[in-house]
Amino acid sequence: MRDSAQSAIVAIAQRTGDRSRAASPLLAAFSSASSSGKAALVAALTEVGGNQALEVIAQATTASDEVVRSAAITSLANAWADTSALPVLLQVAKGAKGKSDRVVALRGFLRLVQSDERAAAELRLTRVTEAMAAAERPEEKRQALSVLREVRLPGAVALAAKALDTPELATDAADTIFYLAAPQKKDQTNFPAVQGPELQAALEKVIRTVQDEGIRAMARKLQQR
Amino acid sequence: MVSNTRKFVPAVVLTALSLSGLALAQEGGIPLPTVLPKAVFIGTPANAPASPNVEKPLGHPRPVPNVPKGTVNLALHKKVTASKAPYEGSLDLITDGDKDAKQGSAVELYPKLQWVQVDLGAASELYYILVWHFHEQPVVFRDVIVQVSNDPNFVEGVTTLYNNDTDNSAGMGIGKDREYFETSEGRLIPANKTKARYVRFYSRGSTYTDPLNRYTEVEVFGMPTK
Repeated sequence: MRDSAQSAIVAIAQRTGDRSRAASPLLAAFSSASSSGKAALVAALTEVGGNQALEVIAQATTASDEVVRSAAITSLANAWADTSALPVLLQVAKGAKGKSDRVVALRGFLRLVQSDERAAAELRLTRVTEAMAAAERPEEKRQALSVLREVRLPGAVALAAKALDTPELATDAADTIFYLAAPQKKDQTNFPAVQGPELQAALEKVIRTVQDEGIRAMARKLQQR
Repeated sequence: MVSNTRKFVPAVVLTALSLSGLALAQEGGIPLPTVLPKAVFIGTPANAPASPNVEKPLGHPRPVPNVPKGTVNLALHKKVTASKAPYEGSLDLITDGDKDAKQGSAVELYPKLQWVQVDLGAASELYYILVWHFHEQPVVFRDVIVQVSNDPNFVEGVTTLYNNDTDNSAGMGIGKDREYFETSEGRLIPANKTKARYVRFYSRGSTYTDPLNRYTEVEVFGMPTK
């Protein structure tokens, strides 16, 4: 029932076209709402978007009430539509007390970085580097490697090569390096292969560190190009 | 020679499934308690988009595996959440029991990687999962990943049951499972008796004419918790 009501509020709010105006009734209700009410409002505000909504949700990510805090972090991580939430998500990923909060926030950070396809490659690389540094587990580093695949810079190859040091990530890291080392075509756009000393060093490291003979053979083949 | 091979492989599969079914039958097993929806197309069109990782259709009905007596669809009418509110339709369509390929029976989610999650209400021993994304046409869904966990955030204790993302583009590792054409049979995924409360289904659009993610129904077969 709350889901339907929430959807209706969001639909009405979005139809106005003005995010601030759309968010205002939700923001007005927020401070006096119950714990579960705030959680629902956070989800609705996430869909509406805008600076005012983000400010309230950002504050809620540090709420002492676990229901509200979790709803805020989850909503931002899963559903916020643009990169304006990146600083908040990175802060939570680095500083939240709960591991679950940190992991969910980092996943959301990477989701938004990946979806920001218009960002310059250098900026994307900076963001993925930040995510790699904040990641505590191979799982999130693996997700970062997947985002790195679309950053066609020598620095991306070097960052993927660093992940070869973690045995659980070796296959995914090598795959990212190979993907960047080959030209790709996406949506009728051609992307050239990444080349240079960083690539040669990365391929050398794959041969040196990865156990899988098939992967090492691929690295040798790419070395000879 | 080729036709012999094609006949031989399903026979091996059938034999293996029959043997496992026989073993379960001897232990009081029952056929998987599901009713398949009506097929709205036969076979795959000649120009069906495919890739080397797309599995060829079996060409005959899928054998029905046996499961322990008492197994039920634990997902029926259970709460569904998603990465993002749907583009069209309601999430409860995913567990409403309606698997037919008709307008209004599937929920549409936004493009790119999205997930839906079923809360079974309690941790249960799971045997099989069936998922129908969209079987009005023989489309192939991308990056189909199915995970189970007792953690609603899927941070701790996550078991991946299916992953056909061969290039880690979904960020959950390189999967070894095959892509497949959607049919009225749905995709049957062994759950290997994993005990879990939450089931999460990822996908990243399909070969259909638009980039949306779609879910018609999911069924999760397991033993109800007493």
